[in-house]
Amino acid sequence: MNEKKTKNILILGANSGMARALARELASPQVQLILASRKVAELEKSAKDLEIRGQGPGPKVISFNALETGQHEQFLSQVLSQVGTLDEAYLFFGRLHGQTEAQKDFNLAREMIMTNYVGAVSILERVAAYMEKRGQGMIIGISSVAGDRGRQSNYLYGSSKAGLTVYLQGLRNRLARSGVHVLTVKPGFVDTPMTRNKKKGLLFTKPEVIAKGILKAVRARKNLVYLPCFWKYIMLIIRSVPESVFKKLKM
Amino acid sequence: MANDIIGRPVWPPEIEITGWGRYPASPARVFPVQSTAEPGQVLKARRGKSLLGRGAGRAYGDAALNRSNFCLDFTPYNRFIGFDEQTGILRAEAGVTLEQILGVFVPRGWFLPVTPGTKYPTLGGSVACDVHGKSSYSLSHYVERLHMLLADGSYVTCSAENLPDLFWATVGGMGLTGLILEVELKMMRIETCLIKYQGVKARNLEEIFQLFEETEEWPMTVAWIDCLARGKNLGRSIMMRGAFARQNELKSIAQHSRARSVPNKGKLAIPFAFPAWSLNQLSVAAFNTCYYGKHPRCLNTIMDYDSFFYPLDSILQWNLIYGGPGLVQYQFLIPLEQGFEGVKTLLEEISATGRASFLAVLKKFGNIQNPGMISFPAPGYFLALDFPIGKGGILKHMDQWDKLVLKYGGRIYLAKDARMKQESFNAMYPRLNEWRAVKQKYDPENVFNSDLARRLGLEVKLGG
Repeated sequence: MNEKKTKNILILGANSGMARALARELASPQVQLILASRKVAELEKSAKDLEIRGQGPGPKVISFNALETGQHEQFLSQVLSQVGTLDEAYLFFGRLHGQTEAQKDFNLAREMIMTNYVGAVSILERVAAYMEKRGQGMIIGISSVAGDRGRQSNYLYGSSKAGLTVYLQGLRNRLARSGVHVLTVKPGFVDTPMTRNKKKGLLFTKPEVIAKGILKAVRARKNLVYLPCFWKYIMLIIRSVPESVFKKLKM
Repeated sequence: MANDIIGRPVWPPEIEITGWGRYPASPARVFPVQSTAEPGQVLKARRGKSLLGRGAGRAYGDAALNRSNFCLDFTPYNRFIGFDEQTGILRAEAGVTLEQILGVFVPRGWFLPVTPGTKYPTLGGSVACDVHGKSSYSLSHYVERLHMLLADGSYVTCSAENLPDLFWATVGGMGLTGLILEVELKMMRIETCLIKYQGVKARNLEEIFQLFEETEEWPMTVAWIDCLARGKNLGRSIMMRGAFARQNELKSIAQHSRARSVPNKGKLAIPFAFPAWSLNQLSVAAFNTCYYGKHPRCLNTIMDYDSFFYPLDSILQWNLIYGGPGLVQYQFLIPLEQGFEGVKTLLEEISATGRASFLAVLKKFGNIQNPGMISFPAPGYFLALDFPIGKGGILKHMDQWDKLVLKYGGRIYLAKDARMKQESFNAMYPRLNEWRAVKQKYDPENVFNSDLARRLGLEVKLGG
C-alpha cells in the first residue's frame, strides 16, 4: 500500500468550513497536505486533528493572506521549499458580506472583490505558471452559484465570484495542452460559518457532502461541477430568464 | 465570531430552534463556533445577553434553548487535539460527535467508555448532560479534564482534583456553569467492536426484575418494555444484554472481517412529520404484541455495535413520526430499594391513562455513586417513555406522575425534560443548593442561561 508516491496538496483558505471537511476526506498516509490561511494558530490545531485522523504525515502549515498579493510569490517558494513539488492546489478562501451592508460601506465590497477575485488571481497565476512549467498538476477553484447571474440581493459578492469563474475558465483553456487540469466548483448554499447570517432552509447542504462531491469531480477530472448537482438545473433556469423580465424580479 | 472589516461584530439573525423532541420552540441568535477565539469574542460582545453552548440539539426539551438570547453552536468546533495510545485519553473540541469519535477510533480498537442510545450528540453536550448508557457508570466517570471558558472571561481546566467544585457542577450541569471548550475522555480498549448479544423474554415485571438481578456478569443491559400491557402481563419485556465480543468468540470469517470496522448500513430518513394520529394506542399495541410475540424465548447472537447501541439512529429524524407538535420524553429514576414498587406503580398509572409510548426502555444502574451535583444517573431503575404531544393533554398526566416519582425518592432526567415544574425539581435533586453555590461563585450574573434554567430556577437570584 505504501508504494504509492505521496501526493502534495495545497489548501488555500484551509480554515473555511468546506476546506476543513475536504482536508478530512483527503487525510491519509499517502497525502502530504499543506494548509494555508491567515490564522496559523487555528491551522496548527487543524493539522493535529488531521494527523490523528489520517495517521499519516502531519500537514504543513504556512501563513497566507489573500490580500497581500505582494507576498504570494514568496509564499509559493516557501511551499515548494517545504514539500518539493505541488500536485494539487485547492482555492477555498473567500469573503462574504451582506449585500446591504456592502452597499452602504464600500470597504466591505472592496474586501470581497480583493479577496475573492484579485487575491485568487494573484496566487493562482503563480501556481499555474509553476504547474505549466512542470507539465502536470491540478487546480481546483471554489467559485459560487452566486456568480452565475447578478441579483440585487448579492451582486457585490456574486460579481467577485463571476470574475473568478471566468478567470478559471480562461486558465483551463490556457493550461489544457500543458497537462494541467482546472476544475471549477460552484457550490450552492452550504451550511458553514460563512453563511451564519442566513436563515437555513432546505437548499442548504452540509460541508461534508460538498467535500465528497468535490473529490468525486476531481477523480473524474471534470471541468465544472455544481454541488449538489441539482444546482445545475436551478441555475440553468435562473440564467435563462430574459433580462427584461429578470430585472423586475425580487431575487 | 464574524467581524466586519472595521471590527464591528456581526450578529446572526434570530431563528427559531428546538430540541430533539421539537417541543418547545424558542428563538435565539445562533453563533457558529469554528475557531478557538470565537467563544471569548461572543462573551465580550454579548451586551447584556446571556449565552448558552449548544451541541447537536439532541436533548429533547429546552436544555439547549435560550429564548431571545444567544446560543453558541459548537458543532463546527470538532477537532481532535490529542490521543495517547498508552492511556487511551482522547482530547477533543467539544463539538465533535460521538459518531465522529467512533468513526476514527473503532478501527484502532477503542470505543466510547459510555454511550447513550444515539451516536449523534456532541461530546460537550454529552458531558453537560452527564449521559449514561447500558452500563452502570455515567460519562463523567471517564472524563479526565474539562477545558472551559468562564463568565469572567477566564480559561480554566478543571477535573476531579483541580477545581473539583466546578468540575462536579459542570458534569450534568446542563451548560450553566461555563462553556465547555475541550474535553479529555478516557476511551475503552476493545478486542472487537462486535457485540455478544443475548435477548431474553420476560412475561411480566417480576421476571424482568429477576433478570436484572442475575445479569451482573453482563456489562451492558437494557430492557424494552411493553408499557401498554396490563394486569398479569404488566411489565412484559425483552431483556437485551451484551458484552463486547472477544476475538475467540467470533465464529465466522465474516465476523472476523468486521471486528474492527465501522458499520455502514443504509439509513432510512423520515421525510416529514407524520399525522398526529398515526401513533395511537392501537397501532402501538399491535406493534408491541408482534415485537414481543416474534422474539424467541432466548436469543444468542453476535451483532454490530450500531444495532446494539443505536437501533433508532438507522432511522434519521425518527422524531418526526410523532407528528407536527412533537414529542415529550418522560424519563425517571427510582432508587434501587424502592425500584420494583416504584416502577410497578408508575407503569400501572401510565398504562391506565391509555397513552401509547412507542419507545419504552427500562434499565438498572448499579450501586455506584455519582459525585455530579445535579447529574441524573444514580443507583436505581430508569424508565424512559416517549409520548406525542398531540393536543397537550399528556402534560397534565406527567405532573401527576412526577408526584409518584417523588414519593419513591426518584427524579427526572433534565436532558429529556421539557415540562417539569420547579417545585418538583427542587424536591428531586438533593444537592441542588451545593450546585447553586458553585453557580453563584463562577457565574454570579447568569451569563450562562437557558430556557430550562429559567423554567427550573437553575439561576442565581439577582438582586435578592
